[in-house]
Amino acid sequence: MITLEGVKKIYPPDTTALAGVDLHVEPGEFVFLVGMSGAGKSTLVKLMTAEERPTSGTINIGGWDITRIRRRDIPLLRRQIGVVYQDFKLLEQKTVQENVAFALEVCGEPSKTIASVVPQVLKIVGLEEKSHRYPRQLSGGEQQRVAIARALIHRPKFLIADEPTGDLDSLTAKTIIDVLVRINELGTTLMFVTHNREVVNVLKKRVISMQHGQIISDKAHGKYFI
Amino acid sequence: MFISSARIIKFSFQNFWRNLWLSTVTVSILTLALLSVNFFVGLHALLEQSIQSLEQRVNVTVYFQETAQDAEIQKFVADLGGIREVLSADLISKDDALNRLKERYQSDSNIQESLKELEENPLTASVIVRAKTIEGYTPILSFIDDQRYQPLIENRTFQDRTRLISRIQEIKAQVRTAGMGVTIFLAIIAALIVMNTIRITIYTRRREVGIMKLVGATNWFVRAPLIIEALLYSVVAMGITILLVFPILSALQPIVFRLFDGNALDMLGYFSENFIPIFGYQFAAVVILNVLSSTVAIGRYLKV
Ligand SMILES: Nc1ncnc2c1ncn2[C@@H]1O[C@H](COP(=O)(O)OP(=O)(O)O)[C@@H](O)[C@H]1O
Ligand SMILES: [Mg+2]
Repeated sequence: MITLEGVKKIYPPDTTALAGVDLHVEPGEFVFLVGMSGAGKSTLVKLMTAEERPTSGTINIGGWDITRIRRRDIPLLRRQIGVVYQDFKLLEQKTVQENVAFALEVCGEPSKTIASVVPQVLKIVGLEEKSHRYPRQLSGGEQQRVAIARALIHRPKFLIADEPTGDLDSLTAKTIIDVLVRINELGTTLMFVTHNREVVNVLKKRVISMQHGQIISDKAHGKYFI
Repeated sequence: MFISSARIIKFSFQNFWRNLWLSTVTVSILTLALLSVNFFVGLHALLEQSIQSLEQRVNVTVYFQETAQDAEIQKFVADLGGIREVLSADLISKDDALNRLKERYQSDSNIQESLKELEENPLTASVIVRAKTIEGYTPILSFIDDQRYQPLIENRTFQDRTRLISRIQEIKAQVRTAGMGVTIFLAIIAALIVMNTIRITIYTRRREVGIMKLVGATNWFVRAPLIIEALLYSVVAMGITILLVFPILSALQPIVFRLFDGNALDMLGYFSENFIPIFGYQFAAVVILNVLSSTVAIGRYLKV
C-alpha cells in the first residue's frame, strides 16, 4: 500500500525533518507512528499527501509513485487518501453535512449520490442528529468525528490520522479511537500518529517509533517505549 | 463540468450570505470608492460646462457699411455660417437693431421721443458670430478680415477681447490639468483601496482555501467561487452606488445652481444622459480590478 525508500526532507534552509526513512505498509494494516514532538511524524504525513515534497528518496502510495507528482494531479491523490488532523480542519462556514459532502463535491459526484451517502456516514460516526449544525456549535470530539466522516466519505483505501486525539480528553479520545479501529476492521489501511501511550499499548498493533527524523524501531505488536 | 459549475455558483452565493459581515464591509468600501469617483465625475462635468458657458459669452460683432446691399450681407452671413468653427451667426438687420433699441429704452421717454423724430434709420446692420471654442475665432477673424469683404464692413469688435480670451484659455488649461491630475490620483487611490479590500477578504479565507485543497479540491474549484464572489461584490456595490448617486445629485443641484448663479450644469440630466458611459466604465473597471486582485490574492494561498 505504502512504500517509502530513503526519504529525506530538509526544510530550507537547513532543518532536517527526515533523515532517510524506509517504510512499508501492507494493505489493511493498522500502524501506529509514535515519537516525540519534532521527530518528523507530521512531515512524513505531509509527504504522503503531497503537501510537501521529499528532498530525496521515493514515495509510492497504492502503486502510484508520487515522488515528483505534478501539481494538477495532487487533488487526485488526495481524493484517494483520507486524512484526519489534530486541529480538525473543518470549514467553519459550512454545516456538518456540508463539510462531509464537500469531499464528494470536489470529486464531482452527482448530488443524488451525495444526498444518500452523507447521512449514512454521519450515522456511522453518530452525528446524524447534528447534521445541520456548524462546527462551532459542536464539541471537540464531535468536530473530530465530522472530520473522520469527511475523510471516509469517498471510501479511501488509506486513512491517515495525525494526532487525532491530541486536543481531546481521554474519554472523548477513546470514542475517536474506537471509530478508527472499526474503520480499519472494515478494510481501510490506517496510519495512526499519536502520543497516547495507553492506546498504543492496549491495542497491540504494529508500532513504528521515530526520533530525529529516523525510524528507530518497528515492532509488529509493539509498545510505546520512548 | 455542469455539476461543478452549479456547485461553484451555489458556493459563491453561500459564501456571500454566510460571511454577511465581511461582505457588507467589502461592499461598503467598494461603494465609497465608487461614490468618490462619481463625485469627481460630476465636479469635472460642472467645470467643463462652466468653461463652455464662459467661452460662449465671447462673440464677434461685424457692423456693415451703410452702403452694403442686403443680398451681399446675406451672402456674407451664409458664407460665414459655412465655416466649421462657427457655432452661430445671427444677422441683425437695420430694422431689428432699431427695434431692439426701442425695446431697451422703453421707459426712457427722451430717447423714445428722439427716436420718433428720426426720418431715416441711422443704425447699421450687423452680425453676431459665436465660435464653438475659443480657438475657433482665429479662422473666423481671418475670414472676416479678408480683403474682398472690406467694402462691406464698417468695423468689427474683438480687438479688445484678446485679454479675456487668453484668460479663459489659461483657466481652461489649468482646470483640465488639475482635473486630469486629480482624476488620475483618485483613480489610483480607489484602485488601491479596491485591491486591498479584496486582498483582505481573501486573506481571511486563507485557512478555508488550504482546507479545501487538502480535501482534494482543484485550484479551479477553490478559486472560482471566490472570484464569482468578488463579481457579486462589484455588482452589489455598483448597484448601491447608482441608487445613491441620483438622490445625492438632486440634493446637491440647488446648491450648485446657487453657487453658479443658476447658470450651471443640470447634474441629474448629465448623469442620466451619460448613464451608460459613466457607470459602464466604472463597472468594467471595478470588475476587472476585483477579479484580478482576487485571482492574485488567492494564488498565494493555493500552494498547499
Ligand atoms: N514548514 C516547516 N519549515 C521548517 N521547518 C519545519 C517545518 N515543518 C516542520 N519543521 C521542522 O521539522 C521537524 C519535524 O517536524 P514535524 O514533522 O512537525 O514533527 P512532529 O510531527 O513529529 O512533531 C521539526 O524540527 C520542525 O521544527
Ligand atoms: Mg506533528
